Amino acid sequence: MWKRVLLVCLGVAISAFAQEGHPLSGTWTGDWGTGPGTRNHITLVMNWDGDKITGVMNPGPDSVPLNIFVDYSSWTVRFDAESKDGAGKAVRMEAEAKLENMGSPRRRLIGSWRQGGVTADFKVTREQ
Amino acid sequence: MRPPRSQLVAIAGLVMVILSTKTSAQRSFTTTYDSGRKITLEGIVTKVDWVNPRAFLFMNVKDSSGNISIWAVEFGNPLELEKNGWKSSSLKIGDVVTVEGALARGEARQVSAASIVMKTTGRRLFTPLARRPAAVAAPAPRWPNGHVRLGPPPGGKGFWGTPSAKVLVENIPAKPAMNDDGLLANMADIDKVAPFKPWARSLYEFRQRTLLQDDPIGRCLPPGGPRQFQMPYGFQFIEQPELGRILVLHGGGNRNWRIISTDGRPAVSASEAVASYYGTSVGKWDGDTLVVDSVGFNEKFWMTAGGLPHTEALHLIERFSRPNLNTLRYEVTVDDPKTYTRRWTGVWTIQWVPDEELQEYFCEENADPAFNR
Repeated sequence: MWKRVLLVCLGVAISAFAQEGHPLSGTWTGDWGTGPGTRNHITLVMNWDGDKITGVMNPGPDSVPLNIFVDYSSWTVRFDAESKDGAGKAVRMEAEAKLENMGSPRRRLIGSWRQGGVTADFKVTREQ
Repeated sequence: MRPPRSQLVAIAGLVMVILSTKTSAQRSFTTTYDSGRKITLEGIVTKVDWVNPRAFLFMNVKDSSGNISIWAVEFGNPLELEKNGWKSSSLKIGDVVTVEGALARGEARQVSAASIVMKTTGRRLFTPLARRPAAVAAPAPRWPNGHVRLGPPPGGKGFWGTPSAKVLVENIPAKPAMNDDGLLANMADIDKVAPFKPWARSLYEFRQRTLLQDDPIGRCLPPGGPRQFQMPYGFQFIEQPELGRILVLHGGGNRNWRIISTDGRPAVSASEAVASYYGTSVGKWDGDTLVVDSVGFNEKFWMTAGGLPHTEALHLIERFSRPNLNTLRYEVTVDDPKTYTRRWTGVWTIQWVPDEELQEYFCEENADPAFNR
C-alpha cells in the first residue's frame, strides 16, 4: 500500500515536467499481450528527424528497427517490423495505436498488436 | 519500519496539494475563466490573499434562500496593484463589496473581477491609475564607443515594460485575430500563425482546442525563447562590456536571467550546447542593431503564448534596436526545420518604463488553485 502511495506521488511529481516538442519523440515502455498473464514487455525509442519518425524496438543487442507511419489528423501510429519470437525465429509484427493524453508528459499509445497469427492489445507510456 | 497508513495518506495528500498548486499557479485567463459567463456578486469579505502572481479575496455570498456560499475573486497582480497605489489593506475583512466579473470554467465558485465596489461608499477599488503620457522621445542613449545602450541613460534607471504584441506570430499583413493568451478567434486562421509542418500544426491545434491548459508557464517554468520578451512585469538589460556580455533579467520570468556573450566568440552549434530554456547566445553589433544568434534550446517550453511548438533544432536570430529612448524594436527569426517548413520572422516593440526598477516577482502558489468548494 505505502509503496503504491509513494509511486502515485512520484508520478504526479514527474508529471510537472514535460517534453513539448514532437509528441512521439522519446522512449516509450509498456507491453503487449492477449491477457493479464501473457504480457510481453516492450521498449520503443522514437525520433523525429524533421522528415519522418524513425525508431527501434527493444534497444540493445536484439533491437528491431521499426517502420513507423503517422496520421497526424488523428494521431494514429502504425508500426511494422521483422521481429523474432521466443525461439529466435523471424516473425512479422504489426501494431496500430492511437496517441492519448497528447498534452501530458506521460502520454500513451494504446492499440492493437499482431504477431505470429496472434492479435493482442498493446499499451506504451512515454518515459521522461 | 513501515509508516502508519494514516501518516502515508497525510503525506500523500500534502504532496498532491503542493504539486497541484505548483502546477496551476500561473494559468492563463483563457484556461481559467470563461469571458462569456458574467456574474455579479454581493457579499462580505472574509479573507484577502495578496500573493503573486494573483491577488484574491474570498467572500461570503448569501443567496435568495439565505444560504451562504464562499466565492474566490481574483483581482489583479499585487505588483501592478501596488504600483497603482493599492495595498492589501485597501480592503478589509468584513467589508461589503459588489463584484462584477467573469466566471471560472467548470463548477468552481471563482470569478475574475472586472470591478469591485465598496457598498457603503460606492468607491471602486483596485482601478489602474491614469498613465502619465510618455515623454517626448529622446534619442537613444549611447556608450562612449558609440553603441546604443539597451539600459537606462547614465545615472538613470528604468526597464522594458509593455510589449506591443503578447503573442508571437509570423509578421504578415493579415495577422490572425487572437486574445492576449494566444487563443485564436477563428481556428481557420491557423495557417496565418506560422508555416507549420503537419505534426506541428496538429499539435498547435490540439493546444488551442484544449484552451492552452498544458502551457508550461502554468507550472511556473521559464518563458524560453521569444516569450521572455512578452511577459508581464518586463525585463532589463545589464550591459557589461568589460566582461563581454549582456545579462537579461526577467521580471516576469520567475526571476530568471539569460547571458548573451558579446566577447567575439564564434556562435556555437546546437550539438555543442547543453539544451536549456534560453539557449546559448552570442551577440554582435551590426551598426545600431544587436544581432543575437542562439541555439541549444530544450523542448520543455512553449516559445510563445498560444502554444507554438519547437524542437531542439530551434535556432533563433534576434535583432534588438532602439530607435529612441522609449522604444525597443525586437525582431526574431525562427529557424527550426523540424517544426516549420521555412524560416519565418516575428516583430514587436517594447516600451521603456522610466525611473522605475524591475520588481521582485516569483511565480508561486496561492489560495486560488486549492479553492474548490
